[in-house]
Amino acid sequence: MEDLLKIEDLYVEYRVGGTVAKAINGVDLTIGKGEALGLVGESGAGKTTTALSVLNLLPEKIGFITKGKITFDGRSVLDMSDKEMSGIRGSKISMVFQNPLTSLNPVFTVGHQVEMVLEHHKHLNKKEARAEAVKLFAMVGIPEYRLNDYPHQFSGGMRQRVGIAAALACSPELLIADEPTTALDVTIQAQILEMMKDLQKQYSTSLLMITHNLGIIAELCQKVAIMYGGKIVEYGTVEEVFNHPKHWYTIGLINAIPKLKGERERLESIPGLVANSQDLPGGCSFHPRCRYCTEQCMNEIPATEEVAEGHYVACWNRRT
Amino acid sequence: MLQKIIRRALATVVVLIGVSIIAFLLVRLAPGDPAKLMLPDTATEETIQAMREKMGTDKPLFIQYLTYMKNVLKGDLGTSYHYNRSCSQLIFSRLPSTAKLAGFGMLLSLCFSIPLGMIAGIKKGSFIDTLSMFFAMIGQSMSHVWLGLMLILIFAVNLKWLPSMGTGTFKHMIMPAIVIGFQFSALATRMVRSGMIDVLQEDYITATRAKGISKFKVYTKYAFKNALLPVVTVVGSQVGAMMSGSMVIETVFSWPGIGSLTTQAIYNRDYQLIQSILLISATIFVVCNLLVDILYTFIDPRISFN
Ligand SMILES: Nc1ncnc2c1ncn2[C@@H]1O[C@H](COP(=O)(O)OP(=O)(O)OP(=O)(O)O)[C@@H](O)[C@H]1O
Ligand SMILES: [Mg+2]
Repeated sequence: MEDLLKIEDLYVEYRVGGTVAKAINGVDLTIGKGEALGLVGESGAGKTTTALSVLNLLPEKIGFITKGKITFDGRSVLDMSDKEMSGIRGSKISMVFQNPLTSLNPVFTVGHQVEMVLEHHKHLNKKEARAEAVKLFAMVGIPEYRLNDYPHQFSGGMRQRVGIAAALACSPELLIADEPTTALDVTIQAQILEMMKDLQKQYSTSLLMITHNLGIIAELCQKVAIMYGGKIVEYGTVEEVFNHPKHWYTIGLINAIPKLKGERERLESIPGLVANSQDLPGGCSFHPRCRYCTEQCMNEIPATEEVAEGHYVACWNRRT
Repeated sequence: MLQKIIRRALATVVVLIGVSIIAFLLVRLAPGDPAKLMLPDTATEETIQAMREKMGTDKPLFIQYLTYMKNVLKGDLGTSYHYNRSCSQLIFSRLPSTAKLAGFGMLLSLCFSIPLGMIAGIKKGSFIDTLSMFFAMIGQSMSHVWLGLMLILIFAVNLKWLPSMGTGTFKHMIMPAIVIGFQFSALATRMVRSGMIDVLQEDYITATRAKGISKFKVYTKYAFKNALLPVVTVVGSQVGAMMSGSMVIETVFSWPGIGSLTTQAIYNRDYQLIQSILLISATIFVVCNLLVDILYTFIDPRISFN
């Protein structure tokens, strides 16, 4: 499969005041054309940061890409001019933001927030953009008469649909969905996922699905990457990784899912707290929480190894 | 919506009745007998008493107030004894020039402070930001009199570019307008700047950029509207600040508006006129605030009237 997006050896830091947060510490990721990749990790793992790096939209004067390369469709994203980048954002790569309550501008109508994408990229006039927006809203299940409403008149789920309609307006080649359903209740979650699945098939869009819900990944994605402390600790096909997890963090995540069938066991939780990007432990970032931690884990950053075809793990003492 | 506006307008009327009582009482309670003032020092007690009767000041306050309000509702604000003309005529002949001055001053300060505040907020921490904050600090602490005199000294006396007093041409308006708008532009610069800084950190701005909209357009179209909202709210209250400022400024520049009329009326103990000016100014203030509130609901969809 041809690569659409390739992230190589990416490092990102946030510098606020005197403190430095090492949010991304050497991430490698590839998404093929038409492929859906799930990116999983606890809060603070660096998922949103990865997504914003792809769009080169880290907060100015705060977020810095200190090293690495991002290639989209054969071209280096970080070397593009502002103008080229503006041409790609929202048309070839688009993003659904994590929090639907804060990602729509409160003083513009929901209709306008979709129309502006169309006006910008497809050079439609107001009337044409409106007609197109009506179709997009219909697709995500919002009736035409609501286009002139403002975001505060919408529920969280409906706002997320607006975000999705805007993201799909130009049939992007890559759709980044940053936990598109975490802020929503379960029934609406299911609707939105179903909708995204259909749309992805329909347009053969590549998908970077960010979530900490493994069920969503199993449902939607072919590949999965597990992120911890700003690094990918395990990567492979969903079947391979879910059936034969090798990294103890992945194993912990899978064991933490409640199962309906079989006996009710005690849920296992991963002990300890998420790695703090402002003060990452040396060696493997996960070692303070790992039961199988060795001397080497505390001192050396684990190398990434291919344990089966297309299944990569970064762990000194992986499950065998 | 309309119902809410009507309710708000009714509340305004209540405020105005309160204002009319206060204006009425303040003037009555001030020391000095207005009837005596109208007459030469040699007037006998009888003529003074006759004058009191003519002016109605011999009646109980409550009756005086009711008579006054009855006349006000008929459009009669009473007669200024000093000018021997009707108060409403005096006030409404002066009002346009004050309105012109305040309006121009407001426009001038918005044209100046909005771009400055926006640039300062976008380039937070830069030289221009520091400069704008310095200006905001000075602007909010400088007195009208001092600024007015300084401008006169520099531009009228030394450079001889602008006339120091009077009215008539556009040039006459420049200095007083700068002075009247100065404090507001300092305040507005500060508000636009902090609004801009806050807004630019919002998710929806990143989301707008993620749609491919250029930085320039995001600043001037999207973030601009968000950052400007708080400024609109203070425009209404600034009308009051400008009216009080105009008393000093119009006196300094001999500008024939309400401000200088007020100063004159106070010098002359022209009670009827002072009271009428108070009432009219308060009405203008309250109505402007009402208009701003109504306007605000149109630009900020989240606020509904209450
Ligand atoms: N604007 C910022 N300023 C400073 N630090 C930041 C900023 N944004 C993120 N960080 C830090 O970078 C790290 C990664 O954050 P990121 O938002 O990418 O996590 P995430 O995986 O998306 O988490 P979540 O699931 O909570 O959304 C965190 O430790 C966070 O504290
Ligand atoms: Mg996130």
